[in-house]
Amino acid sequence: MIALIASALLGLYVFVPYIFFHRISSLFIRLKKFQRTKTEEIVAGIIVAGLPFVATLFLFSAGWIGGCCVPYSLPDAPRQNVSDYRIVFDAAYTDRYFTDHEQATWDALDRVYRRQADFLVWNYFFLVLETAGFIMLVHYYWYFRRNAFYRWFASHVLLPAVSEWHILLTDFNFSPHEERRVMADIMSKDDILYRGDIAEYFLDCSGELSGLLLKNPERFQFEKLKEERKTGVAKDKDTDEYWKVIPGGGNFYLPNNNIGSMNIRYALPESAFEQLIRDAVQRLNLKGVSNISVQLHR
Amino acid sequence: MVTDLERLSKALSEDTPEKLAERELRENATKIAHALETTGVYEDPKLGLRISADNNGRAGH
Repeated sequence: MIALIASALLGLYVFVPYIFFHRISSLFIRLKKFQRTKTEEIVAGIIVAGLPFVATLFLFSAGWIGGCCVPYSLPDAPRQNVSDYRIVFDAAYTDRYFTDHEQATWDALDRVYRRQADFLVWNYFFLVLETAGFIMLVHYYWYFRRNAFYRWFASHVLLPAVSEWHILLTDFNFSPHEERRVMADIMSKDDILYRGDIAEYFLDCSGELSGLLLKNPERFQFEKLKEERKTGVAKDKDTDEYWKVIPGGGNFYLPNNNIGSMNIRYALPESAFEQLIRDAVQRLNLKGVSNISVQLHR
Repeated sequence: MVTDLERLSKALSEDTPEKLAERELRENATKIAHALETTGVYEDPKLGLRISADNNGRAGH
């Protein structure tokens, strides 16, 4: 019976908070995944569940929450607290104690249930706050990272929980107002060069990349370039015309087992990029040059 | 597997296309100045850029 109670408490105080934290955070941020042993799972759960637990415990002992307050009021709580838990433990340990003190055990169990329910409600409330705080702090990494303390905290606490693929394959590092596209040049294992905008990425159960979904995909016609080089008609400097749009509606899936290497860039919208280049050219202070205009090939 | 994600994130935000382009333009400032002042056009196939400007009639002289 005691083992059963211990398992239930472990589930309610460690595993459920950990699963809740992981599931809710994963809706906004891809968290790091790796195969864990049972012990590692418990340690991770204790770390995630520890903060709201300690906060609840502290506020309960300080009398700021719980007891006479919502949601489970217990006016006699302070005095009966220890004896109630002792009765429930003794009853769980020996059947004889339970049969001899059946009514007292049920009464104590009712109060223990109320105290636990009260504690858990507050514990889960702080867990929701912890999860929301984690999501906000990671989500606004691009904004807060100018702060030295935040940088240290992010480096030691927040980022180790985030999948490196989330950092690489999304605009995680940049303000969403910049509206950057995440673009990739991908060399496949069968020596075909692709490029496109990363629309989605998929991770396997060990947290490794399993595939990429590209929007506006194009394939580089290297054979055509080689042929035209042989005949001397190739435009070596401008290879843009050798990119061919992959037909089929613009969704192109590349499985990880066919990806040899990948070059990722975070491109600004064309107008913003052209403006930045115009400003950069103006900063060169070229004499006798005005009305600078910039055109961008892809 | 990348372990120091803060360093990764810093590297990614430093090597953006616009910063690379700006660096490239600074390094080729003389070439750009010459092209714009003579023909009014500078093309950079590496960056995929075509910069044009009024050269205030210098090209003809």
